[in-house]
Amino acid sequence: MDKQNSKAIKKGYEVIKNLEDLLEVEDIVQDNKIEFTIRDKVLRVRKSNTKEIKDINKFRRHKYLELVNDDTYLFRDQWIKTYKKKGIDIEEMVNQISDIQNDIKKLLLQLATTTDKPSIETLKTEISELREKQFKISYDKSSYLSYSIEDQLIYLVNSYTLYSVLEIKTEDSWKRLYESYEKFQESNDDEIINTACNYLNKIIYSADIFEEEK
Amino acid sequence: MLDIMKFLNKLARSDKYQAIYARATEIKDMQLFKNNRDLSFIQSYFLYYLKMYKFLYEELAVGESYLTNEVLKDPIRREAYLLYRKQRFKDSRNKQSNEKAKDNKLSNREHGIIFKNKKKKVGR
Repeated sequence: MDKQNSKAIKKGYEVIKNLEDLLEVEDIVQDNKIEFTIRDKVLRVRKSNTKEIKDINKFRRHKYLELVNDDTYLFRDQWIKTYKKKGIDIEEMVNQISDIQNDIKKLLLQLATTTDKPSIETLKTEISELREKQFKISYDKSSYLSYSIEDQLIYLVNSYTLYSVLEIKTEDSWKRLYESYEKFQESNDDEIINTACNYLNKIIYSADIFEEEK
Repeated sequence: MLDIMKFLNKLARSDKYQAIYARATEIKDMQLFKNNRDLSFIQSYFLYYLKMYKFLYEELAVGESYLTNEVLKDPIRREAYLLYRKQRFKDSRNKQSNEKAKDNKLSNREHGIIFKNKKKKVGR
């Protein structure tokens, strides 16, 4: 009986938690603000306003010029040529990703009209395996190109955006968690930065699409 | 950490949001979000989900083949079904445009004959 009770309580808790999460997401989608608490600090990230977007674009322009004028930085195409000389073929990786995508598409079309349960499971497994393979190649490709001017610029602009929209609750008002971009860069608080970055991706960027449902 | 995409999906397939979405597409001034322009990624994705579920529920209601509640709940099978429908739509559109092209060819040929005859008359 006790075991049954604790099971029911656990189930009830899960239902309430799910409902709370659902309501929270409903709020987020309404106003583009995500609140979270880390070590008693109430924090939030939100979508940038027009003034901040202007500021971010200005930052982007400056950084782009800086990167282009620095001889140690190369564009993606230059990296691709450099890698090819070292025996790493990025273009071939792109082709592989596209070929796997075509194979996935064929299997999906087959799955759509299959009604036999064991065949459905087999096809689903095959699709998942191909997606894993595709993800690995895609991840390797991104890693190879992560020092390119294009990727570095995205990284820098994302961190500047995060600095400008990451806020802390103080009594009844919100203010920037870090007074300046320099202080943000000096911060060692990975827990806050990583959580905030993840949430910001969900609001603004198209990252994490493939982990939508587990 | 809150799994936003999972709950966004749940919200979009809920009766409440399907009803709101149906209304919003009928009534121009009705707003789904606090902002009505410059939508964020999460909002654009939510709209995509709403539209997708509206389509799937309609297909389910008319008893489209290969679509069941089980398919609807399974992300991979749902994706497979959407791709299959897209492909079917593409195929039928291609078939239609091929038939149209065939008709045009036939009709042009007929016109060609008339034009040829007229030209001969003028020549004489």
